Amino acid sequence: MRRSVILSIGVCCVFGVSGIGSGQQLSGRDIALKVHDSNKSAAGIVLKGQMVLKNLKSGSSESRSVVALSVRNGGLSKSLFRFTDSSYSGTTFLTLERSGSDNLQYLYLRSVGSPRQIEGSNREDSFVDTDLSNEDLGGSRVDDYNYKRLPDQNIGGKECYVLERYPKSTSSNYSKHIVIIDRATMLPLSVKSYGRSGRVVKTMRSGQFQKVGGAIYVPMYMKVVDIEKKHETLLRVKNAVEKQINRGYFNRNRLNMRWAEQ
Amino acid sequence: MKTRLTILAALCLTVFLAAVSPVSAEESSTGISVDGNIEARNQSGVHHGEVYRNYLKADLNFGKNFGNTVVKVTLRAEDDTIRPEDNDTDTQHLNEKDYLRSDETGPRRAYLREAYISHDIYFDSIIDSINLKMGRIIYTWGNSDEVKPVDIINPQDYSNLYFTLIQERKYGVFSGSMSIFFTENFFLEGVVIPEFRPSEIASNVFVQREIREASAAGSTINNPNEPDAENQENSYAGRLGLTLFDIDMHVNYYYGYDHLPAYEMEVVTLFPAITTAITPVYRQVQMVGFDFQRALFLGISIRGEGAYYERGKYFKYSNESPGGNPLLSPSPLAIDLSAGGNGSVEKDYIEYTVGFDDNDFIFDDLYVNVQYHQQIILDYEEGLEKEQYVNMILWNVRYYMFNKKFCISTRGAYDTGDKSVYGNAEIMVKLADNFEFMVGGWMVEGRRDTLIGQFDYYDMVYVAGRLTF
Repeated sequence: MRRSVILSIGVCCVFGVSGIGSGQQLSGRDIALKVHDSNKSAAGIVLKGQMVLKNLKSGSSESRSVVALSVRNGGLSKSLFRFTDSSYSGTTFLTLERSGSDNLQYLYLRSVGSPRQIEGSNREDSFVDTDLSNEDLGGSRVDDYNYKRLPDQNIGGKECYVLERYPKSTSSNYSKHIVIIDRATMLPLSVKSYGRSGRVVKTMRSGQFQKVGGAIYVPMYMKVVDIEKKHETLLRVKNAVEKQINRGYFNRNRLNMRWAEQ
Repeated sequence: MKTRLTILAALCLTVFLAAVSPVSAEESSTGISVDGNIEARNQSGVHHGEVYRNYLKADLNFGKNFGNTVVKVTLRAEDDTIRPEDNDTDTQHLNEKDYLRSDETGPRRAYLREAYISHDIYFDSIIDSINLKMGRIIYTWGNSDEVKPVDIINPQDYSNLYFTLIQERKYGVFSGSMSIFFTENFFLEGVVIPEFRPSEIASNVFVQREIREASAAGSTINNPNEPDAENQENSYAGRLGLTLFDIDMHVNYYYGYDHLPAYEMEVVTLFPAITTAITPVYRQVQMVGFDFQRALFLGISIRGEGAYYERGKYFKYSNESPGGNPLLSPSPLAIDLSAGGNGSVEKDYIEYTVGFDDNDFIFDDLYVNVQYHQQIILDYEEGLEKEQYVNMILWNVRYYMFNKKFCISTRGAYDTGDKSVYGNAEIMVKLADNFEFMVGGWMVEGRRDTLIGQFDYYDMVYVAGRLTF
């Protein structure tokens, strides 16, 4: 399904050094840039957690272990996401951010044995059978959207920015997204994605923000619900640390190898 | 008996681990991660029972980290009725079903499929990291799918032909490798392989036509002349990887033993009938290859790979008489043998595969992969058994439904030259996150004297289950 919640942070892009200002004069795009540049680490971030996929119609659920690595180098992020059990064990997703052009993304499947480059128009596709899209895993760029800032809100005691953003691509499955961003951490609290019909088709909520290392915050849980498919993906982070990561991991030629952090 | 007990013990251990590990791949208190899979499969012929295969396999993967050093071990236990019983290994001559088997013989076996120690040294400089690896390793080179001209480092098990996927057919080879990663866009890899392991062709079902014919003609099939026995030399491989203009590419090089043999023939008797002896000989080949992939637009990606063999590829002369009467016009094979040749000739050789795939072809979740494969014998001479050009179209189409819980698929190949084809249709149901159930069939069509068509009567259906833990 060519759908996405467009989390901005993605699962793996929740890292970085925050430079948070007062924000009253910031435009929507400025805020999006701040989110993009926040919570990133030059050393690296390692997340370990559990992903639960739930069919809301039948009530059946499946659980998988995941590991995510991320690092920022020269202002550009690289991220890796891997399932470490279930029939998808070893499935690995690599995103390489680039300036001025689409991010490069690769999917490695153990059964194939070599990484496959993901085409840009597949960004809204689901990552294997989850409700996360390839874009959620780091494939989106700030310039892929037009932004409109809405009045700030106080949600659960948190001061929040509220953005509306519109995909520039005419082939997008979404007409707009409403993103609520926690000003203190610059992490999205929720995202509502509207289909072409104007109805909400997908939602994302995250919470339990935890400080990792210096000024880096990580959401310890995130839930994505595909309303039309009646399916949800819940990611619970059990362990998040900032540490020096081997940058060689982010080369597509070694997606088949085990990581020391695994 | 001992092998059977080993297999049973391995399978019992695997089932036990699967049963007691609700959270699979979870690290134990010793930090060793365990995961794996169990597969059971039955293949049955639809004509006269030519195909009969019961297959039970268990893979156990162990992983352990020691800082930047990683150890990985994959144990495989198999009970596979398609593999011949290990009866004749001490004899000098082989029967047709035993033809070309390795040390891991017999229908029941447990072996170390892959095991290596990997160590990383990483830097904060232009070199991101250096990886050193040693052990029994399975390599995956190239960017095409089932027919991979540059993916030649590992020997394979062809007992079930191409009906088993290439990643499952491979055996690990004892080797050492060093990879240097320069940023995410450039890397170098060197591999040294100080052992020789042949690919296996031995099969109770899929006996190659030329072996059947040689056997029927009274030819003697000698034990293979393996490098281990005489002149073992290291094999070497290297590749350079680069991403340029969003094109991922590698230049590949291999100098070492071919895992499939060339055939040396000699005349044993002239009267009362001509009989020959055939000795499989493993030659050293030198290959230079290139592979690439690039995502284009609308979800379409192109990928391909090609290999040029500068030496080591031998092609057999035809034993068909041009005039139909071997006494009046002897076959090219007879001419070569009578001139003191061994029935084959070395030629430069090229093969390549190119194609495209799309994950959402026309509509969502329809994966389409079409590839074109060509083999070319350079400096071709009339009288060779193999055509100068072999052209094939390969396909792999899958349609996922219900959040990838259900999949219908087809894959296969069509030889445009001799108009032969093998194709598969399969239905896969994912009954649980870690359990897949498959029902399908294989159809083979073509003339009996062709590479694919020789198995024309081997159409089959199968049912299989795979549990991952």
